[in-house]
Amino acid sequence: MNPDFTSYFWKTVSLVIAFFLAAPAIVIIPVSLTPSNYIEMPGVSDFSLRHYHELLKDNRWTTAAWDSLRIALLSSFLATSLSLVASIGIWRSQSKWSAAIQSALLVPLIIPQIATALALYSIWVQTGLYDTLIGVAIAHAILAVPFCIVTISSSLSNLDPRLDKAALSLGASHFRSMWDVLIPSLKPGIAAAALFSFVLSWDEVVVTLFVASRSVSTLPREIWNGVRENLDPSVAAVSTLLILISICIALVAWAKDLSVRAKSGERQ
Amino acid sequence: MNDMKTRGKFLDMDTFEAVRIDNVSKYYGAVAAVKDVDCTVQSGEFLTLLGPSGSGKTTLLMMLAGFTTPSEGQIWVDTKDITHVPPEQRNFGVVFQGYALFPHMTVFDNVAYPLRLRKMPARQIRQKVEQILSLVRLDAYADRHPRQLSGGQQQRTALARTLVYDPILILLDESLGALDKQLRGELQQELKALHRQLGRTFVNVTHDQQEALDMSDRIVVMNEGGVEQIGTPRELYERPNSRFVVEFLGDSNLLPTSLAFGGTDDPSRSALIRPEAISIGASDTKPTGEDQMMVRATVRSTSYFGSDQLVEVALDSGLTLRVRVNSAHAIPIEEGGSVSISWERRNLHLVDN
Repeated sequence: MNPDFTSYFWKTVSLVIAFFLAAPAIVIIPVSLTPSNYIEMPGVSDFSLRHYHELLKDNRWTTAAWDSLRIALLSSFLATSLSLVASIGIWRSQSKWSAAIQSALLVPLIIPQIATALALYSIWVQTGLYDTLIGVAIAHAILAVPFCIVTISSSLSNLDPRLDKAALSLGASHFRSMWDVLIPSLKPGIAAAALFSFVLSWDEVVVTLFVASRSVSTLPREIWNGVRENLDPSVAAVSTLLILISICIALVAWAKDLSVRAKSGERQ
Repeated sequence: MNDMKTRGKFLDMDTFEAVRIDNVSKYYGAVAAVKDVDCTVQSGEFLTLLGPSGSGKTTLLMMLAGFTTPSEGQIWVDTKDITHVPPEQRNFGVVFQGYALFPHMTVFDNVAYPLRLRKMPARQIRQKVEQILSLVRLDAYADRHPRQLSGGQQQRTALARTLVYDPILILLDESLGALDKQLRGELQQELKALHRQLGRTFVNVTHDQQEALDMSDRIVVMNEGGVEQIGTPRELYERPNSRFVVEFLGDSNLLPTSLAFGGTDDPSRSALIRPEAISIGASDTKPTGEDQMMVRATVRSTSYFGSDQLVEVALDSGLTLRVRVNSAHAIPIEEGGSVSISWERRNLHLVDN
């Protein structure tokens, strides 16, 4: 077959799949620009930013945005640092149990989220974490830990164990070796884990519905409420903003990765 | 006995008489990586652990460094038992295989790291690091990162990082193994000079017999987890005590004793004669002294190396011998030709079969 044709064929297939994946998200963008009071597609030349203006005025949304941001940052910090310490511990240990422990840490991945949510609800109510910012952040961190462990462990598997030993032989404690030698070498993996857990918390809704009610509200939760209570296009506007922020984070990560690659390339 | 196990404290010794490996074994499951090793490292010496891969030499070195705990036995620095002192408190230096330089730090920061851990003032650190970098001729490379260095420069950086805090014992794990032959030779000479200049104690692990013979005050030959023989390079080469040491160190011929000495055969032993201790002459040469043994042989093959050539000859009995002939004293040797070969009885050494 003509190689040009084959290449165009697969490019087209890729584009169609990409569009199929992105379409639901894309639909929300014009909806958010409608001038009407209902969720519907605007007319061809009939765009308005009124729902975005309303968002800024309505402190329900700004409070939710602020809560979401704080929860995402805190849960990202918790999940990343816990996973980092756990992964390094497993990596350092020569025990025959370390593989089993690693698998155990990944079990949350196969537990249905709704079951985790229910369990967290009952524990959070008993411990007083229910409906607190820190409670939601911890709940999100629990969901993120397996992802972070996978990411950081794969970085660690490329790391020469002799670096750690060298630091110890020079007189560093295990903590100093981790801080001075391992963490700087694992930066890309740690950044990926932090980003991953941030985004995971940023758009989490199932667990949030269970462990928070009135005093804490995240953006996805407010969207959920908005859809149930009054079908208001400001929900579409918030969703659009969420998508744009996620795209920005992904772009920053991608650009950073490119520059790191370019830098290490030129030093070779 | 465990007075040094106080956390956060370095092994508090400036000098020592000897490090003693006392009946040490290490088992992984049922497999003995190191079995009943007894050996002593004297202060100031350059000791090499020599053996094929899997002989336990690296495991033994890692037990000295503290990364591996012996299953049995103790390790002593003079009268102190350090068997369970963790590596970060031993104040030994280790140059790892592959060097393990910290990739995100410059050469300067790599070398300064152990001093920073010891909380030395910054000005003193600078002075000390510059001094050691000029000792290993890396002053011009202080701001480079490890990946910008050649293999030899990386090796010298790792050595500088180890020497900078004056460890009482320096452990080298195949530290020249990855380099090409010529560079390895140069670095061997440098390392020898450094050892003489600093008067520190080195324990080196290698599988390279030339490196071991050239650099060491003493060599520990290891095989299958145990010690075969300990001695100076000359002792091991001239008076090996087992067939393993004979075959591992240098080129060798093993002869039946009846042939080697003349007279009756001792089936329990063989006579070692090194290829360079055999002379080769024209087939009509006559013996010149009482001590000399001479036999006729046929030349099988010759290999020319410039400074010398290796000749393989077959005796009438079918036994083949390797003879090393110095090019300066060579007689014309043709493949298939008849020659007489001879050796002095005093150059023979008996080895148990």
